[in-house]
Amino acid sequence: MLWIVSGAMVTLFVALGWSALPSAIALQAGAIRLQDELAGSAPIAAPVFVLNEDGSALRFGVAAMASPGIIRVGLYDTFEPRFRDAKIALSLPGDGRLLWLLASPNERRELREQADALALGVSFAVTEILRSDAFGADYRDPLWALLRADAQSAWDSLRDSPAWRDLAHRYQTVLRQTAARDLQPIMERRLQGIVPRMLRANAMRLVDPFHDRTWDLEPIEDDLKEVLREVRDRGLIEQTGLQLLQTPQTLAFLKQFIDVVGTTLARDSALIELVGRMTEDLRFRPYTEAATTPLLNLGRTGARLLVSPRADSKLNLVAATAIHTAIAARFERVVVFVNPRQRDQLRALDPSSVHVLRSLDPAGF
Amino acid sequence: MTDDPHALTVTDLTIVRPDGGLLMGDVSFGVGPAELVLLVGASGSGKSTLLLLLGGLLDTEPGEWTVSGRLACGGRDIDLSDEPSDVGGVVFQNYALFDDLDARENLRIAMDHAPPGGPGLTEELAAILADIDPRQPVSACSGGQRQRLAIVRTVLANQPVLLFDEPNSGLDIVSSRRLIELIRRLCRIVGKPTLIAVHHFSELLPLADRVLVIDPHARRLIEVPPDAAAVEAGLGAAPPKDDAPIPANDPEHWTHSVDGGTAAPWFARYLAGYFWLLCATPMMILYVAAGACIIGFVTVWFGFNYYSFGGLLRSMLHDETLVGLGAVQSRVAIPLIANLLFVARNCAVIAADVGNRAASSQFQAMANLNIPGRRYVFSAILISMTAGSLLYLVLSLLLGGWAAQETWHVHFPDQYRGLFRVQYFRLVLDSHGWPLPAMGWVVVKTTLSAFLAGGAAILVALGAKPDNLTVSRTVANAIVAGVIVTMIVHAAASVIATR
Repeated sequence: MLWIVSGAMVTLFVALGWSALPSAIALQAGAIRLQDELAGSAPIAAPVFVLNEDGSALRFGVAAMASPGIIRVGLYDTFEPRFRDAKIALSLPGDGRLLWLLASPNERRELREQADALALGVSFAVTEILRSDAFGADYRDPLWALLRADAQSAWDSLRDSPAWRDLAHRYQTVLRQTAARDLQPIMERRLQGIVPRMLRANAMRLVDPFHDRTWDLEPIEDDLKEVLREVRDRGLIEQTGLQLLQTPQTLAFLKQFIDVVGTTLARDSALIELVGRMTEDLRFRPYTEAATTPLLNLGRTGARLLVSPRADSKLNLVAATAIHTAIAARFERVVVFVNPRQRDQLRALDPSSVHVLRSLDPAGF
Repeated sequence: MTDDPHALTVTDLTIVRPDGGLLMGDVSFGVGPAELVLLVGASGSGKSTLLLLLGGLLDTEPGEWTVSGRLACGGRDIDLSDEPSDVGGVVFQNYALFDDLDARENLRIAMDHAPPGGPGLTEELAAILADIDPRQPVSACSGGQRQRLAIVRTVLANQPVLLFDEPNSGLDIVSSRRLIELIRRLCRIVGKPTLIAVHHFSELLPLADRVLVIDPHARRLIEVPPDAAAVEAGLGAAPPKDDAPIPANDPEHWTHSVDGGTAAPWFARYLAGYFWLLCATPMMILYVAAGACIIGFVTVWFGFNYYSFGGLLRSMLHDETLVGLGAVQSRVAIPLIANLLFVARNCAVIAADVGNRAASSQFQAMANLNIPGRRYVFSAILISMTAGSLLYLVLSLLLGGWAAQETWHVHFPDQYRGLFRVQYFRLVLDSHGWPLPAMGWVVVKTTLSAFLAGGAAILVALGAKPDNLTVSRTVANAIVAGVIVTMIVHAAASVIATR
C-alpha cells in the first residue's frame, strides 16, 4: 500500500515538474514561418509581442532566424483567445521607436503636448539668449568663429568625397536639362529680334566718326530683364532648386555632411568649453528656465507612459526591450501580432518602420 | 575424544586476552557426534570467548586476541594460530535475529547461504516453529519464539558443530528444562556435536552427556560427571508447562515456506529494503519535495519583491533575473538543500540501523551463518544513497522549477508561463531540452556527497559501537558527519565548476 502511495506521489511531482520544462517552441514543427526581408543573416532570438485591444503589448513568444530572410516564430500559447484576432505579424524596430509605436493614442497625444511645450520653451530660451547682451558681448563672435571653422573643416574633408562628386555630376545634368528644356526656348523667343534692334539703336554710332564707339546695350538689357521676369514668373528657379534638392545625391551628401559636421563639433574641445561656460553662466539662467520645466515634464510623462509598467501589470517588457536595444543593440527588430485595425494605425503612424511579414505556410496561421 | 569426522577435537588450545592476560592455556577437549556437552564456568571465565572462537567470530587481528592450538572437525584440521575456525554455528544469547526480515526470511537467508548438504527444514524442525506465522515479523515474536527461531536458523546454517551461548539466561528453571530438551532433541536429529556455554547449569545437567568446567585458577578445562548437581534432580520431576499443545500452525506452512534457494537474491532483497527505507517511503518523498518547493518559492518571491527601483528596473532586469535564478537554483541551491535533507535524514537512519545491527550481534550472526552481511548491508546502503540522491536531484529540480514558475506567475499573473520557462532554464537546458554540460557537476557533487555521507554514517555507527545509552549521540554524530561531508563536496564542486 505504501508503495502505491509513494508511486502516486512521485508521479504527481514529476508531472508537475515536467509541465514547467521549456520546449524549443521556435524550433518545433508548429512554429510559424515568416518572410522578413529586413532580417539579416546574423542569427537572432527576438521577442514576440501580441497587442491587446487596449493597446498594451504582451510577450507572446520567441522569434529565431531559420535562414536569411526567414524567421520562425514560436508562441507560448497558440490557443490564447487574443491570438484569434491578432493574426497579422508585423516587424517593428526594436529601439526607442517601438515605445512610440506601441503607445496608446492617448499616451501619444499627451507626449505630443509635452513635446510641443518643450519646443516652445527651447525656442524661447534660445531666442532670448541670442538676443541677450551677455551673449553678444562674450559669446557671439567666438561661437560663430568656431562654427564657421568646423563647417569649413567638414566641407574641406568632403570636397573630394564620392558623395560630392556624385552630387556635382547630378547637378550639372539637372542644370543642363533645365537650360535646354526651359531656359533655351525663353531666350530664343525673347532674343529673337535683338539684332535689328541693336542695329537700329546703334546705327548712328556705326557711321559717326567724331564720337567714341560706346554701344547702346539697352535692347539687350531690356530683353534680359524680360527673360528673367519670365523665368521668375514661371518659377523655374524654385523648380530647379527643388529638383536639385530632391535628388538622392543631395540627400546622401547632406546626410554625410551633417554627420561630419556633427562629429567635428562634438570633437571640438574649444566649442565644448565655450558651451560649457554658457551653461554655467548665471546670466542665461532666467532664459533657460523656460525650457527646463517642460523638459522635466516631458521626462516624467515619458517615463510614466512609456517605461513604467501599466497599472494592471508589474512589468513593461516593451520598454525593457527598447532599453536593452538602446544600451546593447540587442534586438534589431521585434515581431508584433496585431489585428487589421492596429496594423493600419501603426502604418499610418510610421510607414517606414512598420513592415508586414508574410506567412510562408500556405494555410497561414 | 574420537576420530569420527563428525566429532569436534580441540588440542593444546591457548587463548590470550588483548591485554596480554592468559584466558586458557593448553586446553584440549572433544565432543562426539550427537553429543551434548555443557561448558560451565563463572562469569568472565571465557565460556563465550571459546564459543566465539569456535564460531570464527573472535577477533584475532594484531592487538586483539591471540590464539594457538589445533582444531579437527568435519574432516578438516585447522591450525588456530593461522586460520580462524568456521566450524561452529552459534545461537547468540540475544538471538541476533534480523529485524528487517520476517520469520520465514530469517530462516531462508540462513539456508540459502549454508554449505550444501544440510538437513533443510525437516518436519521435526518445522514442528518446533508451529506456533509462529512464517510471515510474522520477528519483532512480533515472543521471547520463546525468537529463541526457537534463532536455534532453527543456526541448525539450517548447516555448520558441523552447534554452539549455544547462555541459552537459559533469564529463563526460569522450567523453561530452561524445556529448552535443553529441545536442544537435546535437535542434537540427536542432526547428529552434530553440541556445546552449550552456561552459567546456571543445574537444571541442564540431567540431559547433558558430559560437562566441562573452566577452572578459573588453572585456566584449564576439567571434565566432571553430569550428575554432579543431584540437588537439582527433584526440580526436574515437575511436569513442564509446555506440554500443553502448541497452537496450531500447520508445520507444512514452514516446510513449504522455507524451500532452499540461492544466495544471489538476498543482496537484491537487502537493496530493495534499504532503497525503500532510505529513498522511497512517502514521508521521505514528501520531505524532500517540500524542501525543493520551498526553495523554488522563496527564491523567486523575494527575488522579485525586493527590487529597490520598482517597476522600471524590474522590467529591465526581469529576463536576466530569471536566467540567474534558474542557474543558481538548478546548479546550487536546490541540489544543495535537497541533498542536505536527503543526507541528514538518511544518516540518522543508517546510524540507527547499523548501530542496532552491531549492538544486537546481527553482523556476528550473519558472519556465523556464512552470510556476507556487512557486504550486503553496506553495499545496499551506499547504492541506495547514490542512486537515491540522483533520483531526488531530478525530482527536486523538476518540482523546484515548477514551484518557482507558479510563484512567478502569482507575481506576474498577466504574463505567460512560457516566458518564465524559456528564461529560467536558459543556463540549465539546451535548445533541445537536454541538460547543459555544466549540470554534470551537479550530478557529480550530489552523488558523491551522498555516497561519502552514507559511508561516514556507517563508520560512525560502527566505530561508536552504540548501545542504548549512546545511540542518540551516535545518530547525531552521523548527521553532523554526513552534513559536513555534503557541504564540503558541494562547495568544492561548485568552485571547481565555476573556474
